Amino acid sequence: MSAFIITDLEYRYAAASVPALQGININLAKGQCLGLIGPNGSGKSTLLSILSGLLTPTSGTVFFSQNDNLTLAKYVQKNVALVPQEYAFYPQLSVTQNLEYFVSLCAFSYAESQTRVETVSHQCQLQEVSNQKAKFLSGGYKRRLNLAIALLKDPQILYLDEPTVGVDPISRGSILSLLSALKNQGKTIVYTSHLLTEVQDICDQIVMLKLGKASYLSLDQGQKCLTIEFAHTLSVSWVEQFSGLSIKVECKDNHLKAYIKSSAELFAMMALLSQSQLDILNMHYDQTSLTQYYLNHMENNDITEY
Amino acid sequence: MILQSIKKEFILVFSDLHSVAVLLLMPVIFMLIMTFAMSERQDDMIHNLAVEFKTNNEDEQALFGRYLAGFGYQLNSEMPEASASLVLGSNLKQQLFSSQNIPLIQIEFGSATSPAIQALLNQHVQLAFARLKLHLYMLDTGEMDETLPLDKQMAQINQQTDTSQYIKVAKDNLELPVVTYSVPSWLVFGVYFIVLPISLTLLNEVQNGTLIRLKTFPVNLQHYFLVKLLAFYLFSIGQFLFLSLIGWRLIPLLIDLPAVPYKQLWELLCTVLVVSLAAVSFASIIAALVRSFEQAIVLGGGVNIIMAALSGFMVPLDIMPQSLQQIAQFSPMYWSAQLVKGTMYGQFNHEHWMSIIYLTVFAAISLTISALLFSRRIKDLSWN
Repeated sequence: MSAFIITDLEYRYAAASVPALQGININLAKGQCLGLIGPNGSGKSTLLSILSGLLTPTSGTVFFSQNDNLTLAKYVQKNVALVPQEYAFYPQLSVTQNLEYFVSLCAFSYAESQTRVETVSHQCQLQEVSNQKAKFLSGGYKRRLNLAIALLKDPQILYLDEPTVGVDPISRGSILSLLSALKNQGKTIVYTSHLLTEVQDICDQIVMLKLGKASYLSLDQGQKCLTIEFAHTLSVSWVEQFSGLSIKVECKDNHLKAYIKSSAELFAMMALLSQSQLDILNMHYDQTSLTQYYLNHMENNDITEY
Repeated sequence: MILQSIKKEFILVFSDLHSVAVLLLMPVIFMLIMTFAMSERQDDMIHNLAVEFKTNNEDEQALFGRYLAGFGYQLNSEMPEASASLVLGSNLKQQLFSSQNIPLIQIEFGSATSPAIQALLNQHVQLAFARLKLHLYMLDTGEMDETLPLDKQMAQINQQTDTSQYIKVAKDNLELPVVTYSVPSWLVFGVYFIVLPISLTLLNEVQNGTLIRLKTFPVNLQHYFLVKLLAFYLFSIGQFLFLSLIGWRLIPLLIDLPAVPYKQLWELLCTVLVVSLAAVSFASIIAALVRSFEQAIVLGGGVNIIMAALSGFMVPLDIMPQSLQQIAQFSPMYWSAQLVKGTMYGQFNHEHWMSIIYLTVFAAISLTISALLFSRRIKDLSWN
């Protein structure tokens, strides 16, 4: 079942000559994690603002699966939580005071509020700093508090904007583990980050935005990349052999990259190499990295779908 | 939510030392300095004034000098940096009784001499001339025994021209004027500075993304804004009471004046509620308007200082030109200060009731404007 469906979405800022977003189509299943990546100014924040009900699309629709027939703003208030990149809390208040204040804005009873504060403190491992003023916390704890406040209302959908910026590897690990645990509990997550390895680790779907247009990447965890450096430049006729194997290859001078989806494809590829008797200088066989996709995509001016 | 919001705003204000200094310390310092500065007795002011007095050693000139010195002035024949210089003409007796209006004295004031001191010296010179003229007249007509020692003659003249017994000033007015002039003004000035913490906390919430986050919480942001103002309203009431305690009870004691009693508690209550409401409402407009900390400080502080100047806090209203006095009649700070003065005297009159009405209407209009401005502001919020 879908958490939300975005259809032909376009957004144009007043007086802007080109749309900030156009032709966006996303269908995100409940309990999945969507990674939003792209350079600064590519439209990620605009898309998050629309999903949060802060902006109204110029055209297209955003549909949240729900039984309550709520308006977008009401649905967001009830089921969606934001974790901004900034520390969106009160530095002069202690961790507990921050949590108590934000939980008081939710429609919980006093007892429920207390339970939510305790649960979230435990989830985000904030108990040991509960009485410290937020401004004196380390970067990692500040990030956890930022996340904890979002979790107070027990949201079904969570938007996170670079939630691990400026965080040490241990704290980053604990934040990512928490997000994985939330996903396992059925929470839907929209995650934006420039740290592509993180996105690759926790996201099920990835949308790359460039100048307001989207490319959709469904990362097949089994797909790997065979990178070979030959002694000589490869001939076009030799490379064309791969079209018969339906293996996607990229070739430039004496370098070849082949995207392998199964063992059978790997064996077929090795057989061809063996027959060709070309001199091989170097060879890697590795998980395809999102960084590779990202760089390839951003270097090309056209929009390609993988 | 309301209690948590109030608790949050109080913690935010008290953890910001600058806000505490502006709201509590600055008005106390102003009240103390201004009350102390104005508490100097007229006698002391005159005694400390350096007056140069130039004569030709005529008897009448010397007698004029003695009458003037009788007000407490220290007269010196040579004083290069005098506050005032008096040069008497010659043939004083002849000129005094002449029908021609020839100036008998030339007065030059130093650049640092205040208009109030100038007016006082002018008044005393005229009185000294009047006494001298009467003295010479009585000697001429034989009503004054010229064999009496000069001191006794002068005492007789002073007694005959003394009119103080015809004037009765209310006891309260004699004891309170210094306190009622400076304390209400600077108390109100401090209360209106609530604009700074309101603006700064709201700006912080906008800039660190808290307001966007709150927009996705199940809370109406207009309601949130009103609760925020309620918290500051309660703070403002506490601030008013604290400043009144300092200004009415402690400061008078420090300068050897009687403390001002809290006379009518219901008048005090009305004043606190209305003045704080007006201050917070006015502050809410600035808070909803400003987009940066610099704007908040310049606009919030600047508007308050200009309004205080126009309301007669810095220069007494009664020595301002008529046009400026009329402008003051439209200033919420002026209405507020008038109300506080009325509360100190413990007697509300028609003017005070009008001030309450003006301030309440002003607060209602300000709150409506700020609610509209805030609505526009939250409508423009988006994820950055």
